[in-house]
Amino acid sequence: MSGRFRSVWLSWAALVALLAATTGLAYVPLGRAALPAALAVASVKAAVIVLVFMELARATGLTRIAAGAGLFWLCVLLGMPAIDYLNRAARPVTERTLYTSVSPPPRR
Amino acid sequence: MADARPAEQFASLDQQRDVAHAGMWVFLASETLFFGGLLAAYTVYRIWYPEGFAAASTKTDVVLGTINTAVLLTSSALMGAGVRVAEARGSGRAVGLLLLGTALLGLAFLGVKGTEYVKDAHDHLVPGYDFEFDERLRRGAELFFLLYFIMTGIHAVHLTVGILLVGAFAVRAWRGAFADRLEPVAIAGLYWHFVDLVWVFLYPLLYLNGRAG
Repeated sequence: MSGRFRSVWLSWAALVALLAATTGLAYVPLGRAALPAALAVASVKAAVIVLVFMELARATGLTRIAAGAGLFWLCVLLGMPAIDYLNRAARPVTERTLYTSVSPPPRR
Repeated sequence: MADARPAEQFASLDQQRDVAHAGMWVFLASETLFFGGLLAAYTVYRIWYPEGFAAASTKTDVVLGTINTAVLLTSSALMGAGVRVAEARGSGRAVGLLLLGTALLGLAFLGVKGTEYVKDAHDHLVPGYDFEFDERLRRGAELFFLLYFIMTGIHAVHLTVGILLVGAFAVRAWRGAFADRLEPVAIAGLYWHFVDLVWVFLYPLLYLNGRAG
């Protein structure tokens, strides 16, 4: 087995270890940090897959631009709605407000 | 084994490889945005219904989901090994076997996913058809399961295409069809890894949310 294959099996071992890590982390009460932690692990896994399995690490500029464009527009697609909805004052009637809010009777 | 030579329109094998990979990445970038729309919907509704999403997420089967993630990661490793054997001009039969293993693991994933769907239906978790949930959390939970079925369903469709593609390539590789052309195996590999990549993000979003609380 030459180095070419070693990188594949090492990546596989790293991916399975990261899977175990993210599954374990999900049961640790991290509160608001849980989602960033899970997404960080997923991003490391994604980087391993993209760079080693998909061979982007040894791709030329043309291929990297095509891949980078996908990532860039994904960030725009997810980032802009997130900024909008995270900062809205008004939310729909959610589970939080549906049964707990005590609103004053409407005045005439 | 025949000498590898570039097709007429390419100056070198390197250029041919470069063009094939870049073209596939353009397609994969569009696929990224296709799944991105669903992820954006998930983002918006998770912001609006955090409790409902967390409660609903704990109703998915985390054991089967984790097993399936491992299955898919392993299939990607086999695919990666197959591509490397092909690129090292190794035996077509070795490539064929590795690709066959990849496709079989893909089938195993679909089998487990199907089991999960049956279980979800049995647990009354199918929105619009048979959905029972705590009334206070129902709105968010129903949206979560709607997205769960659409995301995993579309992922399964992609995986089915991948299984057919890689299965067909396994047979062709076994017969030596790729002895003088390396790109098809590598390009099929890119598609397979992309499907794996999508799952890497679906797994924490659909299975791990709300487990600690």
